[in-house]
Amino acid sequence: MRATLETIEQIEKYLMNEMSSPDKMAFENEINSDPTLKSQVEMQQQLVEGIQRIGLKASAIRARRKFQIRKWSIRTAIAVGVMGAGLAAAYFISNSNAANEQNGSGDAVEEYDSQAQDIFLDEDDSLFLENNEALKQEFFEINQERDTVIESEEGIVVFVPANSFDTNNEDIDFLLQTALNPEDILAANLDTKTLDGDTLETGGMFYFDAFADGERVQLVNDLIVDIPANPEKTGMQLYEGVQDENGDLVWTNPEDLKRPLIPVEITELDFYPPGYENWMNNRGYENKEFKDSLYYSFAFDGDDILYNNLRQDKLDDFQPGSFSVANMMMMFPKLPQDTLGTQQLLGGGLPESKHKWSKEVIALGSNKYNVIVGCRKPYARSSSLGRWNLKKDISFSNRNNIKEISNFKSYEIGFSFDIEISGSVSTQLKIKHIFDNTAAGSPGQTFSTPHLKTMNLIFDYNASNLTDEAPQTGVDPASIKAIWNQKFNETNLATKEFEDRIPFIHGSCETKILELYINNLNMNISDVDLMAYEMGGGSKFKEFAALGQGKVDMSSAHAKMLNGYYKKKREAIQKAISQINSSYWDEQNELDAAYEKSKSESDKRNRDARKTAMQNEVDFNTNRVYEELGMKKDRRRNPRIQTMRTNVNNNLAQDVPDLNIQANTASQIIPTTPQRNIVRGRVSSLGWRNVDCLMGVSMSRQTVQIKGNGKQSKITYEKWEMKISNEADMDEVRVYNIPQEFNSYVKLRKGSKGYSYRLNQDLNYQTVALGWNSEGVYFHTETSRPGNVEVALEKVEGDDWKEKLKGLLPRINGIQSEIDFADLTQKDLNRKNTNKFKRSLRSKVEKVIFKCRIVEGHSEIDPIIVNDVEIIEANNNSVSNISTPIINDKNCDVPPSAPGSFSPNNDGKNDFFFVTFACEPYQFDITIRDTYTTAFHSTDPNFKWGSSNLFGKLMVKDIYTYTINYNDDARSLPGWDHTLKGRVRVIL
Amino acid sequence: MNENKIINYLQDGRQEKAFARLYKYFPKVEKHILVNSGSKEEALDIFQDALVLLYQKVNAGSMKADVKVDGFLINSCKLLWSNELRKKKVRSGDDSGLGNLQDEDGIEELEEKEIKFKIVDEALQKLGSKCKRILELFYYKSLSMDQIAKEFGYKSVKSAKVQKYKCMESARKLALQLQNDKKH
Repeated sequence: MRATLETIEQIEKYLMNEMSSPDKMAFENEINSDPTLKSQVEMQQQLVEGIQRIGLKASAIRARRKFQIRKWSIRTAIAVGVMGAGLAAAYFISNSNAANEQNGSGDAVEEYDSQAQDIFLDEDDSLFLENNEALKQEFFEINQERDTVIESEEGIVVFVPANSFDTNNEDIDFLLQTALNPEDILAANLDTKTLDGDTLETGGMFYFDAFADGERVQLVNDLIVDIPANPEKTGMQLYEGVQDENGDLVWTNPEDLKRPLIPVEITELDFYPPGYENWMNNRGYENKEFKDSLYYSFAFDGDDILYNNLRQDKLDDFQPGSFSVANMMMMFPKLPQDTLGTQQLLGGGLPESKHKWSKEVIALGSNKYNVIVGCRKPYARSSSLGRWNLKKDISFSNRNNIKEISNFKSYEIGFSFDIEISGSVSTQLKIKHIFDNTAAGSPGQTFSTPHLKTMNLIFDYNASNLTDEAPQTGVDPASIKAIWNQKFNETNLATKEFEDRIPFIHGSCETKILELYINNLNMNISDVDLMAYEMGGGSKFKEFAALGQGKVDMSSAHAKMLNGYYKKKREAIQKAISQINSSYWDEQNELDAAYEKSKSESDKRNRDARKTAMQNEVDFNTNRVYEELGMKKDRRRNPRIQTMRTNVNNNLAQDVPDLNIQANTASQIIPTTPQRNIVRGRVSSLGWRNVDCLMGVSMSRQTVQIKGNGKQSKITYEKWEMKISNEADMDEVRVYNIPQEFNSYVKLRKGSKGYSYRLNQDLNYQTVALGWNSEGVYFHTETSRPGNVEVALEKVEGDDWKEKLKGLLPRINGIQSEIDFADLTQKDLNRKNTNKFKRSLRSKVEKVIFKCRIVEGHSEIDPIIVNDVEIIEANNNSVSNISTPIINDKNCDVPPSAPGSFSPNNDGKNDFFFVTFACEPYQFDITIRDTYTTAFHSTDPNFKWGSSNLFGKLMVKDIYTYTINYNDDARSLPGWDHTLKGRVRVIL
Repeated sequence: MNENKIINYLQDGRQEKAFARLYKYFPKVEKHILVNSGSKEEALDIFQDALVLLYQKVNAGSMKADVKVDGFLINSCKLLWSNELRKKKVRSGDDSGLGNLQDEDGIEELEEKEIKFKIVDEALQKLGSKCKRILELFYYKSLSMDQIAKEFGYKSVKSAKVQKYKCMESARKLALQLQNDKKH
């Protein structure tokens, strides 16, 4: 160190009395002897004094601020004011109030344009803690009759409720000092040590004080303080500052700080079950009302489901009309129509039939039944029937909703089996059997080819699989609807934080978890999270609780009011939806029943017409033949009675039947075509018994020559077949043959190739074909000629199409009624298709909404309310035409098949490309492409690709590739269960 | 206000607290000064000087036992102001309202030292802020060299000391310079 500096050091020591006595004396001698040193010492001393003086002066200046309390008054009642800093300059006002008013001569009393007031405080007052020195002071004048919100310059927001201070004085001077950044904290010497000696990491410190009329006042309730906080730092706690024994400020009493929730507009949040909106949007259902109404249609029943018991006084203000039930469009069926789970079984007894077939069904338990099918004597004799070979002889035309067939048993006269179903069932039971018509004691003719008997087996499933015990799993949509509205704005529910919890609330599948949040609106949401976790909502709620989120403040009275509102509203919604559902479906069921009634009338009509036509034809044939043969028939007799005998030489009939007439008068039936099974018994001899033959002949419709009375007559039948080219486009087609000569008609059944009939050449027929689809009604008529014909149905136009059509047709009552039926059915088609679609959509979406539910795979259910069972009699076609192999166990795993080639030339052979499924898939998609383009696309598993929907008239390529996607049952996941590819060749 | 307490504060380093409490006497002083052609700023200045004097008096131990603090303060102010006025060549006002002046020693000394004070004050003001701070911390706040070294980030106490001495040296030089300037 340099000499000069050393000198300075020495002088310092001397001045500060740090020298030892001998050193001091020596130095003093030196000073006295050296004037330069002396002046240096003096100078240094003065400098030191000067330093001290400056320090003191600064201190004195600072001391001023401590004493002065300046307040700023705020003109508005709710003060969200940002007060300027710069209160450092204190200004001292004289004691007396008088001085405030009159300023004296100098008028320099007020430096700032504000009112100041003396506040006298104890010298020990915390306000005078050193820490308070360096912080900015902000003063706010509060009227404590109102709630006040104060915002400081640094962003601290203080909520001061009304009447928070222990004084009757309205005007409160509220002091706020903040130290939010490190500089302030350091400058104010604020320590960050707790009473235990731990160091805290501070998020900010603040100091509050309040005075009224110059006297300090105390708080009587809590203030709420929002501190700008680092969102990353969790676990911040609020410490209270106290003075320890040294008089230093230490922090104690930590209290958890809650991160308050930020309210948003509740209608903009998403309370749907997770994935629901996406699922709907992906399928094109983007309309919000539609999505809402579909979702809400799944509202639970509630405890009080019987609408008739609805008590008006329970609803009070919340009448159904008050929340737009009309807009809900509750068109969706709720399959549980009544909760008793009754299943109605239809079927039962058959009308009288020749062979006395019958079936009986016994309910074995839930969804399980025992079906007994029998055939009574006299037409069936056990010995020739033998045992029914059930595996071979019984089949079902369709296996939808049949879970299992088991426990086959065979009896003399019939058989039985157990059937387990999972929904409505409508199937034909096909029974192949052999009849032995040997009467007791007579040699009989055994027909070796088996008969086919079909019976309808219909189980109408009027209620759902849900029993009373099965709880409705999932979160009740009625509850969601009750809270998802503006009434719940400014509550914990109307926050993004709550929205974050919604997917997990849905995931818990419990409405009671949702209700925890609704019933505790006044609680910190993290506390409710904990309750949800403890109630079994899932571990995610524990994670939510750890976030320590707070609440949207509300009074407990308000929370209670909202809770009450929610309960009432939920109940009202459930009832309203239940009512809408049942009233809609009641109506639909009525309409369905009306349709079914109309249909069964039509069926009966057609049967009767056929009988009448048959009868007419027999009469006609009989008359003609008899005329040709020169015979007369007895008018007294019912021509159907076949037992009259005639005197050979006498054409007159006699009453007494005689079976022993000579053979030379016997006629011979010479069938010109192979004999077929016929309904009747034997034909043996001439005479009136020929009427039998004619009856039988008329019914069998075979060309036949009849000899009698030495003459010959012939009844000729010719085959006629009609194909309808656009039949595939129709929902239903009906073809009638009307013999002009009669007042009756025959409705034809569709065979494998088309509609066929054997025309009696002595009659003139008009064929009428009616078809319909959602677009309208289609029609064709022509005179029938033997041979094959292909026609296309044409759409009828105009509002008066019915009259026109009726005019074209013979005035046969039955036919006229059939046209009415066509009209009615066509109109009803849209309704039925809509319902079918709705039910289908609903059952698919149920799985999306309620992920916890295992929804039984209902395929499209048409509620069938059948009052009558239709019997389909044995077809006159050869049994060998029935080509369907008898499959007992429908194996749905058999992959679908499609032809490798087809020729769409409308020749009746392989005209279409289509896919055959063992069991109809739930969802289906096929795309047929050539290299560059899509030639065909369909989502209907029953599609047919043929000449009418070929892409372009000319095929660019003759080989196409197709991709088939299908799902076995409803699924909400993306993707397909099965994908198949193949190729098909188009041959023209 | 308890006088003893104030004196205690002054003596144990809590002078600012004492000063704060003493401000209650300021209105009187201010009034006097204003009445006697002074301004508010001048009143403040005088009062603060008086506070410093009081401090020095108390700490120097030369405070007579029976002198009251308030009296001392106010008297000091009056005297200081008279001084000031004399300097301004303004006729001094009426002293009568202020009460007896009992202790004039400190004032006379002050007048003598005033010139020196001025030079020193000016020199110190001219020092760089760092030097001012070091000197303030050591001589006014009486922090240890250890603390000062920490505050300024010096690696060793020695380097801090050296810096302090250097600052003192600069201050001295400045003061001498000013002295010479004044002489000429």
